[in-house]
Amino acid sequence: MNISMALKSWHCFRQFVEANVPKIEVRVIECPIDLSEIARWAPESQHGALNSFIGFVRSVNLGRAVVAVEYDCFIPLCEKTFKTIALEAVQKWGEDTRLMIIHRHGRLSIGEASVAIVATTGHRDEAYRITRYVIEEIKMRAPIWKKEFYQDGETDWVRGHALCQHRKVDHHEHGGNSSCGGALLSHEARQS
Amino acid sequence: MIKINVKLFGAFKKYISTGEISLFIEQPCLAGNLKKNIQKHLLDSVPEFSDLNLVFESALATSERILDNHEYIDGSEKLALLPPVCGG
Repeated sequence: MNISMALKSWHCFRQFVEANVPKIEVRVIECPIDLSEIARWAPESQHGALNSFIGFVRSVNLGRAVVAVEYDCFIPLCEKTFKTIALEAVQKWGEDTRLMIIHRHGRLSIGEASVAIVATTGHRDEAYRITRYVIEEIKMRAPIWKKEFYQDGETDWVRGHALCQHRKVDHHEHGGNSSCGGALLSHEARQS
Repeated sequence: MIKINVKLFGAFKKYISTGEISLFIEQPCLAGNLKKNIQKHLLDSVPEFSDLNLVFESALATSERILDNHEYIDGSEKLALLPPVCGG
């Protein structure tokens, strides 16, 4: 086989792989997120940019020392919500976008990755916008709840964003009286 | 009257560690009224249940979607009560 034939074979193989790799991949998992998988999430040949967001469990929240967190998740609706958010991003920023969303459930230690979002697109502007959009929408819409374990032995479920629709949204995240409201509004609608 | 099971998530698990309750409802039943029934069930059966806004701030859902308070529950779908969310 000469060089040109080898290159043509490689080109055909790459086209086959690209045609058969899912554009959108979403997962809720109990095991640790494999960050090397994120690194292997290669862009397609027409993509010039890859952007990723990875959230980690931190050791302090609102002045309290945290030793661990536990994520509760309504998995079937959560994965459906991830897919909906991903499709919205693709519609907004390009049909050829590739997007992966992974979220943990169960108990996590400090420093563990809780969520990973990877987007590959034609240009860097869309890649940044997509990952920002996705994480903000996940925080507002995905049926996931976080319980914090504190150094003093206490635990608490973190309050968040209401999903029901009968009043306007109140975005107070921690404590207080978060009112019930239309949290299904898109990020842009909430900004306007 | 029909018996329905409702899965509970997040802060509800402080009060119901199994994460599920069963209650009887009259049909037809609106989702908003079911939430009131759930509130009453928790107040009656869990002495330490003190978060009176939690049910009001939560959304009823199936595994496919959030239900509007004005939708009717027919008992055929598996239901879940979702408190305010904070993933990511």
